Amino acid sequence: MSMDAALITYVEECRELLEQMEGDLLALERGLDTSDDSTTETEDDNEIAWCELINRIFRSAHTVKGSAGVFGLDHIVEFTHEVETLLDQLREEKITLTSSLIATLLECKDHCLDLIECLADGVEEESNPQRAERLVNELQTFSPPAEKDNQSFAVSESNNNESPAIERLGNNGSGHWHISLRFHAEALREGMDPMSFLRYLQKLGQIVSVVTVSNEMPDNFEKFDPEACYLGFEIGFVSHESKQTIEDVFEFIRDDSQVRIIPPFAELESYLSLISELDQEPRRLGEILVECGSLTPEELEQALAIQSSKPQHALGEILINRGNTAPQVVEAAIAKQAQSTAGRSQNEDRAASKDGGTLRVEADRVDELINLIGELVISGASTAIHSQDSNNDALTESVSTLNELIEEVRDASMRLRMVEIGATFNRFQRVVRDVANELGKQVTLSITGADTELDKTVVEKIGDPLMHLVRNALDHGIESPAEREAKGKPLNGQLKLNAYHDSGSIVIEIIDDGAGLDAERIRAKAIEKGLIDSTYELNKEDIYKLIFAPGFSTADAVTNLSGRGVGMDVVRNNIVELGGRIDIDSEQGKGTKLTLHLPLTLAIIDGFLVGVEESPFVIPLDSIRECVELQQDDAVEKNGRQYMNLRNEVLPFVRLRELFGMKTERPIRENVVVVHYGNQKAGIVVDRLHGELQTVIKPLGQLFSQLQGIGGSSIMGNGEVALILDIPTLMQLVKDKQPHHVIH
Amino acid sequence: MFNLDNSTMIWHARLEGELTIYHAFELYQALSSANMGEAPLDLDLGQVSLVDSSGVQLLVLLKKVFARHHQELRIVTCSEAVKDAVGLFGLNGFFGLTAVPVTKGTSE
Repeated sequence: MSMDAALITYVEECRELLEQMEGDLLALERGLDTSDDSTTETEDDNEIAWCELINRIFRSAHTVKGSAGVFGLDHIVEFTHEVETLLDQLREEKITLTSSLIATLLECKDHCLDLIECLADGVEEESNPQRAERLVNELQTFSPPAEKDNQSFAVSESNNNESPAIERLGNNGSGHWHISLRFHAEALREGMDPMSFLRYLQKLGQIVSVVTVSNEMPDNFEKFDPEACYLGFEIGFVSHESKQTIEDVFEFIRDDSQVRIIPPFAELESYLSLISELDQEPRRLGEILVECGSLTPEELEQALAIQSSKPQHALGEILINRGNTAPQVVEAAIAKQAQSTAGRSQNEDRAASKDGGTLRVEADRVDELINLIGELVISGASTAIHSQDSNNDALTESVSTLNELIEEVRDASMRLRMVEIGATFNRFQRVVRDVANELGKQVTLSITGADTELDKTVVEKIGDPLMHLVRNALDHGIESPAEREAKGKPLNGQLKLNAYHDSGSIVIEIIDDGAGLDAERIRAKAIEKGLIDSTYELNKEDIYKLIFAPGFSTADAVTNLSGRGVGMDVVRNNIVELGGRIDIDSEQGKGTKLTLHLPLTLAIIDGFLVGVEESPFVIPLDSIRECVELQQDDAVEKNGRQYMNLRNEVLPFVRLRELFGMKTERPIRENVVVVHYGNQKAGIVVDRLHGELQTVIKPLGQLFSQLQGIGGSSIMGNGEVALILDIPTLMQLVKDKQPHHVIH
Repeated sequence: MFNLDNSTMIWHARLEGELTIYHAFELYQALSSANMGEAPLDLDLGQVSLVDSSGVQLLVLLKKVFARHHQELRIVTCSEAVKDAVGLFGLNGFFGLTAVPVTKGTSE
């Protein structure tokens, strides 16, 4: 692991937190807008939702700040501290929420994100001090006057990182926190320097005593690893912060290192369990605790006496029976409980998934796993064939159980890569808000199908194209309120993002109720730009597609949002690169609907095995509607295209043997596999149907990249290579097929 | 880096620059290659500009190694950075650092 692994985690976590913060702020803003005329919700409900939103925003800011402190990123700590202070006042209802306050907080969030992005680029300082200063000033104007003095005091205190207050301040009894830390061996290599944790603690309060424990460290050079961490600390700490805050300091090391925090005035048992949990000579650790001032020598004697008189395992029970009665603990517990009940009521799923914990895994490792499972599926299939040949029933049965399990493992591992599109969609709330404000338009964004899942790599790549399309819809699609009024439309424009799964691909729709596309104007513009000849007769669909041509823009005025004519072609190229396509449907005056079809890009698919001559082919099962026998009487050939009558429906079809130039005679009986893609259907005529199978897609080599109609290959259980048909391009071929056109 | 003073039979060592994880291995190699332990060591840390946990850890190791050989390790000069780090870890007593003069102007 690299030195900066922890920092990378921090950056990613901040991005997520800030994104969530933005969503919450926007939700607050929407709440503000509707609070005047809201009759559907009772006031109490509103109140609870609001409190929870503000709480969550506060917690996001707090975590960003807390973790920044650990890394010694003072500029981020300073800035977020200001934000946090204001949010705290908001939480305590010392100030009221206004739309201008939300606007400022949104800007603050942007600034934080910029700082984080700079950090990701390796810049560990304030990138835009003017903006920071302006925002801090703005924030302070919102604070109630009485608070201002306190606030500046709090700031100067938090910035006070001089004078390492190590000197022992005399024995407080057990009136201070006791923090026991044992860093794990990899801490230093992972960039978790114990020193920075101690320094950060100094900002939260006063370290009254530190004892460095190094008994894990060898006392000779041979066994010593200079990059491993052998350090542990027993710390006496005075602070008015909550247990949560202190715990948060160690958030990044909690999983691997041992962190124990004993609140002030804790019962003796807490220390006893600390002594017994740490695998160390009890008396020595006890003495350390005395040295820290956390225990008095008398208390230590008493504790050791209790310990020796009780069997070891009973310690935990004593603790539970007597309970920790320190006031801070109770307070913290109540606060936490209140927090979590409020959280449940607001967004149960989200809270649950956050609480359930997530694990960050490098994408490479997941890919490796999926690759291996792919191999496992193949060898599972071949084992199944051999077991069937062996006529050993018991073996066949256990192999079939095994294969079922493999199938489940496969599904589970594929889900590792799948993410919901909701996060990508939600990002557009802010975009729509800002762009609409800039353009002086009123637009409401509604999102459906946010839980539709797709591969992470696809999600990452569609962000930019989607952004462009959304901006475009706002800029060119939805009209200004005045225009809308004149047309008798509601003043508020509607933009809709929708996602759903359709036959193995994901469909994303961007729908607006704006002006729609003007086919005539597009045509005129295209002729003017020399993209088409004025004599061309084009249907509407083809005219719409012209907007994706390079250098095409119908915007009369070039705004900074869109209309420069760069972009739409790039958008289309991006989508095509992903193996997808864009359809446009528009009605002038009513609106436009852009439909993106994207593959889910799964490395393993459920396929249907068919045969032509001796060659096996795999058709993705998702795209298959049905299989029927080809009745030679129903098939007709016209203009080089072949059609058949499928229950009184005209179905174009193609014979794979003709398409791929196989010269042998057609068998007497042929089968048609009816496939669909989007709203089109077509038939693929093959010799034999073999049945379903799972298959691993192996990409074809560079040499075959021009080969149309084939999406990849797969090695079957018996070692044969099967070609996987690429249905979308195959359908295109069926549609465009010229007489005697043969792919070689 | 190391000099054995033949008249007093005391090692002298001077560490400079950064005692951080980035240099930990290199420092460790330098320290472990010298056959130390048979004589006391006077350590000059006056020109150390930056210390992190790995640096302190290395000093603790040195101290331990010398203690095992019943030899003394003394820090004779130290910079602000060293003083600060050792103090933060509560190791002033361990290194006997309280009375050691601090060189000014080298810490960052």
